[in-house]
Amino acid sequence: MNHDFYIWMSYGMTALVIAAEIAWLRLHRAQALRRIEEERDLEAQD
Amino acid sequence: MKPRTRRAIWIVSGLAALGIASALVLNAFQSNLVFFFTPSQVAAHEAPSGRAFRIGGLVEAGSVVHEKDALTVHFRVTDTAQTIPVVFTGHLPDLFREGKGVVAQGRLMGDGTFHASDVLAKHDENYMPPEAAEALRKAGHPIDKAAFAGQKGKS
Amino acid sequence: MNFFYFASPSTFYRLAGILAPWCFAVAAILGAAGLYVGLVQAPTDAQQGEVYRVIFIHVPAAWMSMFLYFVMACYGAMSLTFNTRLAAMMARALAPTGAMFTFVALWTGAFWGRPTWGAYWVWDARLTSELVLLFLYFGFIALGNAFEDPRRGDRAAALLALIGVVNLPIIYFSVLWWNTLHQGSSVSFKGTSMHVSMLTGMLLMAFAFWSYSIGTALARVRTIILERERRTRWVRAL
Repeated sequence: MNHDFYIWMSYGMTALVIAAEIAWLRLHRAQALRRIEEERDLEAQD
Repeated sequence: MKPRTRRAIWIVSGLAALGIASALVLNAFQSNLVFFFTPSQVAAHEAPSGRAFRIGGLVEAGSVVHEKDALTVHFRVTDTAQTIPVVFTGHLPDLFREGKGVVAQGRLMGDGTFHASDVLAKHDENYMPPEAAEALRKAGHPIDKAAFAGQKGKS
Repeated sequence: MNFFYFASPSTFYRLAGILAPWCFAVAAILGAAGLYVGLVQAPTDAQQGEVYRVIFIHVPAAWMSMFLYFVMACYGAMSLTFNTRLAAMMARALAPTGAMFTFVALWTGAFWGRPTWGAYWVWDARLTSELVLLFLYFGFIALGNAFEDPRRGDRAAALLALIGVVNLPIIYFSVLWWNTLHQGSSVSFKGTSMHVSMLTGMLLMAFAFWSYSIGTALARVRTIILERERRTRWVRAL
C-alpha cells in the first residue's frame, strides 16, 4: 500500500489555499489603499 | 463592472448557495440520515425492501472466501446478534479485514444473501503504533469493537 | 481607559496592525513544530499505515471550520443586538477563513477516505452537514455583499449566520446520532483514543490554525475598516 499520492494531495492543497488566502489579503489591502489615495488626489485637485 | 451588476451577481450566488444548502438538508432528511442498517435492523424488517440500501457491521472472522476468479468474494456481516451473508464482485478497499468494520451497498435477495455492488471499509477512531496495537491484542482488548460503538440500532 | 476604547474602528485598526504579525509568527512556529511532530516523530498507525497522517490537517481544519462559524455567529449576534460597527466587520472578516478551513476539511477528508474507506465521498450525515456548512459560509459572504448599504448587508448576513448555528451541533454529534461511515471522535471532552505523539502533533496544528485564523481575521478587518471609513478624517490622515 503506497499512499503518498493521497498525503501529497492533502498537504499540497492545504498549502495552496493558505498561500492563496494570504495573497488575496495583500491584494485586497493594496486595492483599498490605492482607492484612498485616488480620492485624496481628487480632493486635492478641487 | 458596474456596482449594480456586481450586486446582482452576489445576490444570485447567495441564493444559489442557500438553495444548495437547503436542498442538501432536505435530501438528507429524506433518505440519507441513516447511512446503513445493521443486520439486526434488517432481521427486524426495518430496512427498505425492494430497493438498494446499505448494511453495516463487522466482517465476521473466518468468513471471507475468495472464489477462483479472485474477484468475487463471500463474507458475512455481523453485529454480533444477527449475521447476513454477502456476495461481492469487485475491488475491496485496503482496510477491508476480517473482524473490522464494513459498509456494503446492494440488494437483499430472496434467499437472504446480500448482493453488494459497493463495499466500503469503516475504520475506528483509534490511532496507535503497531506495537501498541499488538500489546492491546495480547492483553485481550482488541481495538476493533470501537468501530461501531455508540452507533444507533445496535441492540 | 474607556471599556469601549478598542471598539472604535480607528483604535482597533492600530491594535490589529500590531497584533496580526505576531499571530502569523506564532502560527508559523507552531505549524512547523506540528508538522515535525506529525510527519517525523509520530509513529505509523497500526491499521492505516502512513495515510493516517492526513489527520494532522483534517481534524484541526474541521475544528476551525466549526469554531470560526460559532465565533462569526457570536459577532453577528453582537452586531444585531448592540448595533456595533466593529462586531459586524469582525464577522465579515472571519467568513473567508472559515470557508477556507471548511474546504480544507472536506478536501483532505476526500483524499483520506479514498484509501481507507474506498470512496472519496459518501452522503453520510457527517460529510453532508459539513458540506452544508461550506454553503452557509458562501451564503454569508454573498448576502453581505448583495446590498448597496454595507450595514444592511451586515444585518442580513448576521441573521443568516445565526440561523445556520443549528448546523454546528448536527455536524459535531452526527457520528453519534446516526449511522455514519465517518468514525467517531478521537478526541472528546472525556478523553482521547490516540497515541500521545499523534495527539501532540494534532494539537500543535490546531493551535497553529487558531493563531493563523486570528491573524487573517485581524488583517482582513483592517482592510474592511479602511474601505468603510475611507471618507473619515483619521483614514485621510494615514
